[in-house]
Amino acid sequence: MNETSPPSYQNSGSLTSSETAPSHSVRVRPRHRSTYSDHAWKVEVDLPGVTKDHVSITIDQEVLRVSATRHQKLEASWRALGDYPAEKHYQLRLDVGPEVDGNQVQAVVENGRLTLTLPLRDEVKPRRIEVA
Amino acid sequence: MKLIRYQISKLPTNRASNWDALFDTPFRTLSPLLSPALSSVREAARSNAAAVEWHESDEAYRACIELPGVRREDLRLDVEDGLVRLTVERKGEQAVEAESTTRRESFEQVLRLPDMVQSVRAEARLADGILELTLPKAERPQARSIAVQ
Repeated sequence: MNETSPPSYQNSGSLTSSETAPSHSVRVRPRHRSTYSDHAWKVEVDLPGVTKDHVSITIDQEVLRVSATRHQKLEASWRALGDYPAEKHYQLRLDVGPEVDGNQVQAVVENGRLTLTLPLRDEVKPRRIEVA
Repeated sequence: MKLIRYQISKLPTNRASNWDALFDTPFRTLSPLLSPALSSVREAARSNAAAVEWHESDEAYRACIELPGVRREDLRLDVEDGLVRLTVERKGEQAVEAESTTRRESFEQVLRLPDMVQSVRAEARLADGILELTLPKAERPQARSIAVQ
């Protein structure tokens, strides 16, 4: 499986920008990579600064959605040396197809990276056929 | 084949302050900015360089570097000649039975330090894929008067 498609221009969201920068928020499509084997599809999503409590993962009608918010407010005595967003909303939508068993998905967040394991349904896994 | 991208990242310009007086070279930010007119969604950085954000307090500078999936044991930081060299070598990847390319990611990046920092007192903290590098500012030499003989 290759790295997924070019950026999507989602019209449901918009770049919200408050009047006083640098407190704006942005939506980001996170870097991710997929590998697959005969048994499962593995997706790694880069979500730096995000802990597991701030990640939402849903799978519905063969669509996997990952969303996470990273808050980057600076402490009182610090000032930003660039126009950085105060919040990053990571959002990723992947079509997973019917071969994935949505009930067996596992998710682990570690070091700012989400690893999803999407097992394939038994029916689609390669099977040895015994000759009677 | 190991692919290492060698990048120098520097502090962004801050036109609001007398920042520019401290540095003798122009800067650029690393954040990939898509023009708002074209897209409402930012694509995360495609380049190999890790995203860096710089902050400043009265006492120190701080670089926040995005290193998702990096563990402490994979990371090396070396300071030399006003530069911080960041090396990530991901060790101990579990056997992957998938049709993937090599998972051995090596990554190196160099950051130029601001001039007036005490690099010996630099501190680094890695949590949730963000490396925070704090660099205390050098104390300004006191004004002294010089006695005339």
